[in-house]
Amino acid sequence: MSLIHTIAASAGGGKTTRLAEELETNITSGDARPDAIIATTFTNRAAAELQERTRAELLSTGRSQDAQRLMASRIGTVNSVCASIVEDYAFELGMPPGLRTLDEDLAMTVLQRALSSVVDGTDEAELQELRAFMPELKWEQDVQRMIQAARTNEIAADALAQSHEKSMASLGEALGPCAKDGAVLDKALIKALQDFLSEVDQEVDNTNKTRDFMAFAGQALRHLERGTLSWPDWCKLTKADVASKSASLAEPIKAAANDHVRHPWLREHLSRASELLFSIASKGLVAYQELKAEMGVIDFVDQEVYALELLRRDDIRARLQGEIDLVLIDEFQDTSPVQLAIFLELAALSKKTVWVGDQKQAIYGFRGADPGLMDSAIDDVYDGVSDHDLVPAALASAEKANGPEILNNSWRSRPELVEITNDIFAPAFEHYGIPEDRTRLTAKRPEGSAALGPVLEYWPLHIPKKSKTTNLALPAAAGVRRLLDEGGSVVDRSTKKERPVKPVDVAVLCRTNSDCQRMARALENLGIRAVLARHGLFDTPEAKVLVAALRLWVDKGDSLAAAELARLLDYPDRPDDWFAAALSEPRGGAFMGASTVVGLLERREALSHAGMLQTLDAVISVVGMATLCAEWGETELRRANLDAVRAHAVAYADSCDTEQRPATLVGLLERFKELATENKREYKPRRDNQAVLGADNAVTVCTWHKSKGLEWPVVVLFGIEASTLPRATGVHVASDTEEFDASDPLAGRWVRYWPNPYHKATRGPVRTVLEQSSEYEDLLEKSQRERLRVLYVIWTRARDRLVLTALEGKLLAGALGELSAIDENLISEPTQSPAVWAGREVHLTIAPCGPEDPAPEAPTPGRSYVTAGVKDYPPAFIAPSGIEATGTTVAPIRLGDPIEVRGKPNPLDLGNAIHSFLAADAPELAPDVREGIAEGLLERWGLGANLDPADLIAMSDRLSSWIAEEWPDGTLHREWPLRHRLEDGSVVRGSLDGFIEAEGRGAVLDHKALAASVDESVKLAAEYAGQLGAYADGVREASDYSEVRAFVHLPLAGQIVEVHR
Amino acid sequence: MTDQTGAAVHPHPLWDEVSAAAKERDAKAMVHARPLGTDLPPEMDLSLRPLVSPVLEWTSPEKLPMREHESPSGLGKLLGCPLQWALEYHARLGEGVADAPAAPDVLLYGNLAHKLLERVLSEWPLTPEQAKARATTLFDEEAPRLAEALFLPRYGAQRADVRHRIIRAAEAVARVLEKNDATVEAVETSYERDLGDIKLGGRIDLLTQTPSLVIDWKWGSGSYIAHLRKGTALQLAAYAYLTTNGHGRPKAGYFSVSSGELHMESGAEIEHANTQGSYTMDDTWDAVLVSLKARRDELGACVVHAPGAATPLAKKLEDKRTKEGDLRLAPQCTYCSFRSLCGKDFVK
Repeated sequence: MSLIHTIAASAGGGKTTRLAEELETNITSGDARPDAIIATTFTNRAAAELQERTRAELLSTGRSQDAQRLMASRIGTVNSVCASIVEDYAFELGMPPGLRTLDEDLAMTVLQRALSSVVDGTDEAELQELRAFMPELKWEQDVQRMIQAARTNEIAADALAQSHEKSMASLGEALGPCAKDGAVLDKALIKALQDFLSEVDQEVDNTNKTRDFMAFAGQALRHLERGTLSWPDWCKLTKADVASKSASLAEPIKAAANDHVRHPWLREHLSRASELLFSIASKGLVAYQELKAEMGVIDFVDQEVYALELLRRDDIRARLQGEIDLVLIDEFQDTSPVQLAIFLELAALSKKTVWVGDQKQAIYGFRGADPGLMDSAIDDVYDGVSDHDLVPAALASAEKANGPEILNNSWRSRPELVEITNDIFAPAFEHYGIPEDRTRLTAKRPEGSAALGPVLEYWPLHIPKKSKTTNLALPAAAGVRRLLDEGGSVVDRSTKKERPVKPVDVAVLCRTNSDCQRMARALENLGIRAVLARHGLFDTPEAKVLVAALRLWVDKGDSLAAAELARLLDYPDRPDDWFAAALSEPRGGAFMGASTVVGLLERREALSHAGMLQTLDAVISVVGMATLCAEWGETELRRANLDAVRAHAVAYADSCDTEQRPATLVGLLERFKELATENKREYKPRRDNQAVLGADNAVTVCTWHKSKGLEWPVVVLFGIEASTLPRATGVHVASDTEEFDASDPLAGRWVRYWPNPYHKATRGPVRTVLEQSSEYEDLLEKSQRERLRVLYVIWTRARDRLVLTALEGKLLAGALGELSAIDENLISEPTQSPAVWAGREVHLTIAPCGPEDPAPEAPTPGRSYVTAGVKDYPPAFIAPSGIEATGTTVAPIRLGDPIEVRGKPNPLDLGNAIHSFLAADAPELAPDVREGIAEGLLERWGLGANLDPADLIAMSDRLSSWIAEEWPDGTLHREWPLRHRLEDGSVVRGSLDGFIEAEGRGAVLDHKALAASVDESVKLAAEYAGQLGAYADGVREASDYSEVRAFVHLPLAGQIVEVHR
Repeated sequence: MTDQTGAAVHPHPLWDEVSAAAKERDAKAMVHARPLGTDLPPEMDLSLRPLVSPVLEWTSPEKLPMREHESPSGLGKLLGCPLQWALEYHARLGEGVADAPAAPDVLLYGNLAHKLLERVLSEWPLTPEQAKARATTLFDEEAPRLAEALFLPRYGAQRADVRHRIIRAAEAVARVLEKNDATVEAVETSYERDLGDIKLGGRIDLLTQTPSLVIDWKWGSGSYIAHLRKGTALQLAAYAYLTTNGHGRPKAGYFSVSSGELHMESGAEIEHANTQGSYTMDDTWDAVLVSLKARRDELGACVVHAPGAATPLAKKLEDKRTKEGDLRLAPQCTYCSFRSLCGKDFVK
């Protein structure tokens, strides 16, 4: 086991520089061979940066060999490093090398397929019965989550039954005592409903609210009497939403319905749902693995699981021993349980291990990272434990005594901002057990001039009461507009000099992806471009035109596609003219003559066998998309959008390849449709993002989580007033072990599943009761810690200025509330500057924002080259038989009498038999051998009744005689292969029937078994001038012959004809 | 630098070597510039090409006549979005083969439910248990043929769900009929009746006697309950109009297959059904006639409206009743194929 050196790197502490130093130092000192290094980072970009920095450093010090060898190291994301290990040892895993990895979408499709195969009739019947009571039971999603949790926590399929038992035991305890007889509870509710329905006086209360509830109550009563009242309906009755005039009459309903938490049938349904879903998950887990093996693919989880399996095998360990000098793990706080196990195995194999991270920035809990687990691991490594031998010698060293190396200088932010951050967050993290010295940083940047303004701003967001919108992105975007217009200063990162703020300096960090979309739209309305992948690629005119053109290509009867092309290209500002044209000839007839449509259909004829991507490119070219994009203005963005559409097509082709199915144009159009559609059932948003153009005039908009590791001069935090709470129900990973065991980090883990009897967003008695449980308390505490960490991450992204935005009066309603909950003096909603936060005076600008009217659009056209049009390329290969050219003939030479063909044989068969004989025969062969060949050929081609063997022999003999006479020094080569490149690059390739090689001259010979009259045959010979000419050219180019002649041999006519082109 | 899928790629295998060397030397001296693409055609200035923008009111070259035979759904389109009606029935614009739906959706579920419930109820009389058994058999035998997409391997969950709901619906319908002593008079039957100078015709899902009920199958329930409550259930009112005879008008309702519930118009006291809102089909039909006249007058003046054209798709449009009794049905933009044509797809 190597020494695990830990580095705690707070935000802005110069971590990337430190990492590159670590690599470079270890290589330079000879402690680590460059190709014996493993380094994992959070993103590919970070990996590339780390490698690039280190290589540049090595190259600049003349260590080019080391720089070269570093290319052979394993530096990448955890997944890519695991993938490389799995690839290297694929045979040992019993897998083929070059394994294909499924992307997330494809993996989901394969998993769904696997699940479909394991749900049998009994399962379906049980699901049906349960769904009558729990109509919102999203079994497929819950099962997928169970499988995911099991795989990433090394829980075997057959152990899931225990998870069910543990889940139900904990659920029973959380829900409290159960009533003995459910019928009693039903009766009480029946009576309450009956009383209500008979007592409501509709003369007195004729409100829609009460009438609607009465309809629902009647419906509920019927179900209750049949014993089929669902649990969401029980829950709805606990709220009994009626007008105030009837409110008192509804109270007994509420009281009776509230009792359903104790209902024995509810417990039974929850238990059955849990048992069934765990059982499906268990079977599904096995089926999914089998299906992937059958397809020869793995997924991202497999990469890690298989890498761990390999690293635990003695034979692999023996081979890796001595092969790893340095393991460097970046962002280790966001490590998932399986990844932690991998890192620990690698640590045992490596001479030296360095973990770099920051407990305060662990924010990927929702993706399977386990900050709690990491906290334990960190504490374990820092403080040491006596009951295991993971780090026996290492932890007994100074490392253990001194704790981690702490990077406690901040190179990122202005000193005042660093100090405010220290004072607010150090006590907050101390509250959760992280020592203050791991949070406090010393500012190393100079303060800068007064032009930089206060380090903090607060924008209370205001929506006028009469406004129809509640979209807070509108006032926040107005704040960004003001900030840019006022033109404050920032410090340029490259030059370190102050300059006016530009849009590229500003980042708006939003809580959710939907907030990002709203914010980007709001900014765009005010004329500010946002760097954000916005949905709606297929709603853009450029994509609409392209898709319509592709549809027309697929089906020229698609009248809607023709009408769309006409509307978008020919009639965009003449809608009534377009309408008149559409009405003048039904089914788009009036549009079929449009130049674009005609061009498309002509090209379609010419490229009828083109592949999917070739067609896409042809359509882009024929429609003139590049010029269209320029003519519409925003040229760069529109052309980038075309690239984005094409990238989707390439991805589609790749996925077809992985799934081993054909990529077709219709399939591509379906994929486009799928990307542009929100799948509410699977909670998948639209995935047709528009292209992103980074530029000086664009503001960055991204989610809080995506901002990790990045920094901007001005950071605007949006959505911090929103509060989110965890849910007690659903799939969670639990652990039985009190103490973390670093030698077995996944020990004692199981999947806790509490089914939700209601709709996921509904608050009801079950949820209320479950939120009193110790399990929920635990979840709540974890989520509070995570919210604090997220707040720390986004707060520390700013270099020069941090802007807090919130609905006015609600600044502390969300994440910032976590701070004031720890200590109310840490932060407060400021009403004036300076505010007093964490006992210090904080100078800040308070600038309220309200929505502003959109800016008018003024697109300008771009410039373009004159469209070159479609270029036709010559074919790669040409068969001489396909070259058509009629030439002239010289007077034919008679070889003998015409040979009569009896009957009417298939001309192809006849030709094949004669060609074969002339190729195989040689006059020097024994007569019986020649006869045998001729007889066999005629028999095999079914020509025994049409020709005699002697006829074939005669053809050959007289040809040989002519050659002997005309070419006394010549040698006849039969079936002579020839390749010849033409001037335009095409390659002519084929086989000569015969080639006569003589001194300084040659002749090409082609047999034509024409069953026509002598005169007719001679005439037809001229038509082969093209073919023979191509052969003769090839021979000329490959030889130094002074003369190459071309002859058509007519064996049936008994003639030989010289041809000229 | 990115590859053709947009993923970042390393610029060149020697990039680090070059950039390291650039640090040491005068970078300018390393750069040799030469004109690129001198053989390209000259650039040209382009004029701005207009983009499609939403158009709420269109003018037809001549007045658009009513169709001789109109269906309730056509009537709904005319009242909701006359442009959609004109493009579908006069311009006859249609999608090609590339637009076949791939993934199962509610349209497929609805069609399947229609076909199976028709088969079950055509065997009336049936007890609820018999209806359930029959629906089970029919689903297992016929659904693979009628709804092929649902039987693709990855849609097992949807298949199980749809199966459950259709079987439960068959049982629930039979129970409602049994509780009300109703008999099936017609299933999936065409009816036609004069409506002024045109003929209105449509297929009725279910017509019963004693009580006289006309029932329309719907997959979901939310929007249809809203139609009943707001008095905007045009399709149902049209079915009630079509089946009115000498004995009077049947009571009308929607049966939601997905929830297994029957929702009836006001005044229909039917066992095991929910009465929704305070409007009867007579109220609704009266409003339809007022609205139809208004739309016909507009068509006569060569005016064709596209009322949803300027509203973003994400914003839900609501049905409305004007003080004059005109029924302003919300255009059905979500499933409309003509959004690029009216300009709705380009609303900012």
